[in-house]
Amino acid sequence: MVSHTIENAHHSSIYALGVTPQYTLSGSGASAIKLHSTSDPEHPLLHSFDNAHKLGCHHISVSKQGKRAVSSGFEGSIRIWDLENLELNGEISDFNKNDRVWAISLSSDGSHCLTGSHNGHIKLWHLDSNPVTKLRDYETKNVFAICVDLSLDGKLAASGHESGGVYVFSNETGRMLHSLTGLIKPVRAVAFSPSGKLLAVCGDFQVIAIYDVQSGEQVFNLVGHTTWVFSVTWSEAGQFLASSSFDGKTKVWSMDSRSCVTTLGESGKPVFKASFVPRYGTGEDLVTVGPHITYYREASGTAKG
Amino acid sequence: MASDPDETALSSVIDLYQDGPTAVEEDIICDYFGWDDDVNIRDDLAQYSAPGYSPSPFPTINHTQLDMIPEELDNYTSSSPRISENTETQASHREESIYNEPSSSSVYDHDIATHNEPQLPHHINDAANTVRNSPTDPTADLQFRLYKLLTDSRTDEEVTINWEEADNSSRPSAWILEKIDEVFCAWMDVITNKSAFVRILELIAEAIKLDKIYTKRDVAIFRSQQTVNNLVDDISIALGVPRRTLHITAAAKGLVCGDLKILKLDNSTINCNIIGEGVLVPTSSDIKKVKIGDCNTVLIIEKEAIFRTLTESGDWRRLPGRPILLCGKGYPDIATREFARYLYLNKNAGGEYLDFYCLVDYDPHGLDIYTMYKRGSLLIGGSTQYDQMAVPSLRHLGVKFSDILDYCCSDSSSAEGKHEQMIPEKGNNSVSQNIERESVTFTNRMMGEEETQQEELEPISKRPRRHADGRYRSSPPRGLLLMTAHDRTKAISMLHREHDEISEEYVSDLRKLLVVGYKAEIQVLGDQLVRYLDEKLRDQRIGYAT
Repeated sequence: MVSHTIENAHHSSIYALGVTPQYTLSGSGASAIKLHSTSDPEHPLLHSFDNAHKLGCHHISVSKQGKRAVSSGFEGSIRIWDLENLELNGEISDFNKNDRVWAISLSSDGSHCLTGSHNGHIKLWHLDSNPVTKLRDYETKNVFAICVDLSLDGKLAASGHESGGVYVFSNETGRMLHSLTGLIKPVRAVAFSPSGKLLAVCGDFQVIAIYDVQSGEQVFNLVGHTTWVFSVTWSEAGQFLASSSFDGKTKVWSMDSRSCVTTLGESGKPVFKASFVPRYGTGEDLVTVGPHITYYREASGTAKG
Repeated sequence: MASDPDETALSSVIDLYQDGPTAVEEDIICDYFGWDDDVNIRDDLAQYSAPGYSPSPFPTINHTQLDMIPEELDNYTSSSPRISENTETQASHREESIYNEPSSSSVYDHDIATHNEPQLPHHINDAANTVRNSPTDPTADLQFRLYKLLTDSRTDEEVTINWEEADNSSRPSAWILEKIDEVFCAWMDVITNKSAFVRILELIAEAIKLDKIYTKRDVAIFRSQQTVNNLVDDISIALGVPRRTLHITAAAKGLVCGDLKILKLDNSTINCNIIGEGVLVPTSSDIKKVKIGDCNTVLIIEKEAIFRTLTESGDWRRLPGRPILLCGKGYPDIATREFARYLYLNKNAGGEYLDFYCLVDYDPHGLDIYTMYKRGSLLIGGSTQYDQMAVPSLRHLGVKFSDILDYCCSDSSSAEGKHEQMIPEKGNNSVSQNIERESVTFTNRMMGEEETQQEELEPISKRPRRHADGRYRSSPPRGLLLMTAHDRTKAISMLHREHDEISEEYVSDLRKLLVVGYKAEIQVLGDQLVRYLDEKLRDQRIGYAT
């Protein structure tokens, strides 16, 4: 099922991934962000944003249409990229030292960006204004926010923290809707389902917990990973979940059967991020990054009709 | 306005004398530095105008700015023969002013000067004004500087001291004393907030004069030890002399244990080949010679606890290469680094150079400490004096993240496999097992017991490493710690540094620390430590041979 592997795309481990119908953006310890073709079966390198982040890039988030991307680097800077003209579009850079940003998430239309910082502040930014304006600043318990996510309609925000805390905010009212409890280990990824009704949470507790956003109740768990789960992502229609873990395994889960459909990856090296390829009518294709960039075709196996 | 901060700074310095741990008779110091309890620069300046005033309380001053004052004053208050040194026009102006304005000396007191504005000799004001416009005119510059010195804006004055060459290590201590005096004079008018600096300089001067050696801790009367360390290092770099020339050393901190003898200058010998605690590393200036025995490895250990575990059990004697253990207790001090360098430059009994390995925590500080041993200092291209402490052949033995996965994933498939291999090969001469066995024997012997108990004691590392209930078939590594905010800041600041081939070894580790978010101490190896060191050192040595 591995359709293609780009080895040595970067000279170090690849931490960041953003997939649009056109480009696969990847960021690593090197300063450049690389753009490989998503649609071409050979996945050639199309462009490279050189010197995007001096110390390397650990997060990339792309809008659904693939017009805009944001990236955050180890030095704490956030850069906004125009993917139509392949140029730098702006920067979010008014953070002080204690407020260094780690996680980022771009809204589906690319107009808003959610950031989570080391001191637990979750901020919502409006990117279309010039200069970039801060719309919301949610304060949490001063614990490192490892991951954030915006719902598809942009109305909800979620953050996952090192202490195991998960918070859901309403961007319309600026209030915290839920503080989801029950997890005590670092939360590494939160992801709203495309409908915005469910929230998938994964981390070092080795399971993927699914919460109901409306009630804040934990609906069920997906059990199967045996080590830290680094990322979780939904397929276009919300039928499948893909998760990647520290031991190099990528698992695809069916939401209908609530079970693991496929387990991919034999490298044993950490897979930092997995993402479905947004492409209609072709099965659930998957991209993962870790030591290499790997493309999988129809990763969900037989399930797709 | 300006007199207040000066006064407080000076009196606080003087207070320090009275409260300081190494009190010296006050009179001597006042005499030496030319200060009095109620020193006020304004008063001093008023004194300058008095006839017969002895110009210099500082016998060794040669700083232009302060020299200027008495000289210029001489010109004004008496028909000094030095007038001829100045340009003709200047001189005639001055003579004029002196004879026409007997009270012109009061000009130097700012308050009176403004009060007596109309009586001011015009050319002085003119000179001051023209200087503002054209500061390039050297003679006018002198006047302007003098004028400025006497007004409130004295702190604006740029003070530059000529440090001569970069490397002054061969200079006599008298030269340092001279330079310190120079600094004192230069800093006189900007002394505010420099009390720690001044105090340290005084202590250095005192130490040199009395030919005593102070440790940095003796000097630790300021906010933190770090303040003192930084200042002392700054001074030593600025003067271009090694720190011990300033008679300031760190208290002995490092520990060493291994098959070597240290012959000191006073002809006493330290035998480091003892079981137990290890010996303190002496200062390099005390060492006459080091006699390295039958060993070909040096293992540098970050943590004292690990060092003690190895020395007290005697396990180090059985490790491959019979390593000399060296521990700097965290960031190594100069004596430890110099000792490591000394070992690096010397051969063992068999006429071979030693291999160097470093065992540090898997965290930003551990990697930093490794760099410090390898490069001699933390900064790239630091002062040349740090090259004298570098061990370029040092290798990073661990703890590495892969080691943690290999040794601490209790039930992950790889560890499981290793374990199953180990148990059946009992008679198969597995060295790590032998080590365990020997160490058990050894401790028994130490405790005066018979070896008969040996059979009953199973080495801890051979016991199955599994959760008590055996529930998890595989699990993430245990014993890891979350990166703190401090660790993250440290890692990012290390990434920001200029990188060379040494730091390239670990920058990806730094990023991995940040992304994965876990660090580990050496202690994570727990009872696997000896087995770990045995396997790692063996691997490295094989790596060398091939």
